[in-house]
Amino acid sequence: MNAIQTTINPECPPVCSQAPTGAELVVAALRDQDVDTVFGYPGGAIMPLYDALPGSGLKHILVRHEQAAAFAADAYARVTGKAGVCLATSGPGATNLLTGIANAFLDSVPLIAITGQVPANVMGTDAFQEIDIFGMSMPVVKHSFLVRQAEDIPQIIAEAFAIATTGRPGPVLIDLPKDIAQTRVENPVTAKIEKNERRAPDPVAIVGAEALLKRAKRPVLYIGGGVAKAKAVQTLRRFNMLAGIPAVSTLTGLGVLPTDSADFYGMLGMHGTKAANILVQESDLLLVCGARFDDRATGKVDSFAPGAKVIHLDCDPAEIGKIRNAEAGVQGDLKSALESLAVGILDISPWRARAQELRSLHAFSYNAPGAGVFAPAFLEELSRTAGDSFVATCDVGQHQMWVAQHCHFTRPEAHLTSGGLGAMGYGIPAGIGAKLARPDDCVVTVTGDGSIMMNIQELATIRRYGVALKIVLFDNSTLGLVRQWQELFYEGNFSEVDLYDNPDFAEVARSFGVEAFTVTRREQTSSAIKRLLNTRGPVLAHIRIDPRENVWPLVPPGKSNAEMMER
Amino acid sequence: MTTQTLHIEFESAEGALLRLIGLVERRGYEVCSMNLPTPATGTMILDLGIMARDGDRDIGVLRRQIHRLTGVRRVMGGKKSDKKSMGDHHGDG
Repeated sequence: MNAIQTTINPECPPVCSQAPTGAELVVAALRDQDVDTVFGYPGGAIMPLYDALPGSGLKHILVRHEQAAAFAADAYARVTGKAGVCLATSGPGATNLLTGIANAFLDSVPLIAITGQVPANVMGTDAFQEIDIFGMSMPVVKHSFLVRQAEDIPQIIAEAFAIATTGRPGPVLIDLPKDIAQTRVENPVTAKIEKNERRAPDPVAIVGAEALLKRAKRPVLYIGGGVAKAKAVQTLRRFNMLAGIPAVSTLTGLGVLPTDSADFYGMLGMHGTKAANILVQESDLLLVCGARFDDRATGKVDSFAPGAKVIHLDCDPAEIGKIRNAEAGVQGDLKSALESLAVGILDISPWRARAQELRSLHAFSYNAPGAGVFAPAFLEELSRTAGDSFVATCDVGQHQMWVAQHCHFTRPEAHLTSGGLGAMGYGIPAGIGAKLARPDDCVVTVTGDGSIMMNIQELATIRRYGVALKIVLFDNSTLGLVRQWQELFYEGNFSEVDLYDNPDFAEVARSFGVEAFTVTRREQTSSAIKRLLNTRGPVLAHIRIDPRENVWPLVPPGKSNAEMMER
Repeated sequence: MTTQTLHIEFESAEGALLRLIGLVERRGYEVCSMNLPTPATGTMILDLGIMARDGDRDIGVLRRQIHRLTGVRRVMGGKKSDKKSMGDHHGDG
């Protein structure tokens, strides 16, 4: 462990002759962590912090709902690799952040959530807008702090960033009582944090993993979101360029290997490719990198990859053996683990041939009946046309799965999706966060008519800051994925999924000052994509699709991945 | 299902106890007994009697989930289940 000292040099506008307040220490500590942008919404208990923002050098993005602040900060973190920061007031402001914090927790995203709190002397009295966000958030944070003394602020902020960004990343909440934010601190204490070195993998475990790999005849490389979090993308690509193991990925692992690469066979699991699922089921060894055997990926666990031994590489020891036993569990830094694995070229030519055969047999078809827009084909063409700068931020539902199945990704940060939580409403705020972080990228939010209504107010944020976000809205006037399940698994009993009374989304977008157009016919696909990509400012393409269209293939709930249903 | 006892050494901090017990409950265990002796220093030791709510829980995984909490120094005790798992070497007592 190395002791790192950070220097607190608060810019304390507008008057620098006085000792800094707690709020000014927060701002200075954020600057000290190289934070440039924060997302938030002011209110009573956090007003001292907002008072300290002007002139601080921090860019504040005023969203229109606190949930959007957390989602935008989450996306900002995913594309930059740094911690995202969001602010909210006490009570409803804080509770509105919770869904976004939970989203970051389940997808292991470094996020700092700072909430105002009522003054310390009235905490516990049911004061106006008092809520125990410190207690409420415990199940969905990596750690949390309740600030009791203003002098502690530099240390708490430094620790919060260290915790959020090291090991397995995650959200950290800091609850800041109003009176403490207003307290002047005569002698701010310099923060000291212990820097955790990345834990090297156990050499004995590596030897065990190598032995399993060299004996394997049908290995599969199983890629999860942890690879990108560990900054091990290039290492994994080099490893597999040599090893040539057929690879599949989870939803959050897409793009670690370019989706068009020869050894990549698609996403596994419920809406994965048939080739990926068959490969995993037939494999004799899974080399699992930064994945957690999520139930959407495994289907029925007891029948998942029944003949496979498992090598599990993960920085989090609590994931190894949690769902699936590992014959070789390699705990520690994933990048180091992959660098240490010396397997050379594997003699698995028949297995590679089998994989290629499966790809050919089960390739997606883009020939759909009817004259309406076929969303999978639209997305495939959109991502191919946009090229390497394409970034998709998804909402949740059928369109999310179509993005995962049909878009081309050349890097993991090009696919931002609410994987673990599955939070409708993520798409537009995430698009804002991603576009602000990477203004030169072609950031496209793909949403549905259900999801967009969860955070449609953020069109105002897009307009306010001129965020050149492109929005593709697939409108089937129904909650498509729920409808699909009701059709297939609830005997067609369609209950509360009909959104026949949606507004005219193009009109709504225009009323927010966002350019919009509506697409209804398949032959408009290419021209719509061209218009979308050539528009300089924010733009929304409202695309009507057939409500009877389903996501295929599909592993029914509770079934084995070997039992995929097809169109 | 039998009761097992975990001995958890952790730094005293606001919310630390709530965080520990909440995690154990959420991960599928019932808390049957607790003993928290008066700490001599800033480190506390919690003796926690727990029982899995279903029979298919690996206490090694729970130990590691507790150990990864910020401020937890050691987790000891609890019988290893028959379910084989790797990387379970966080102060197994």
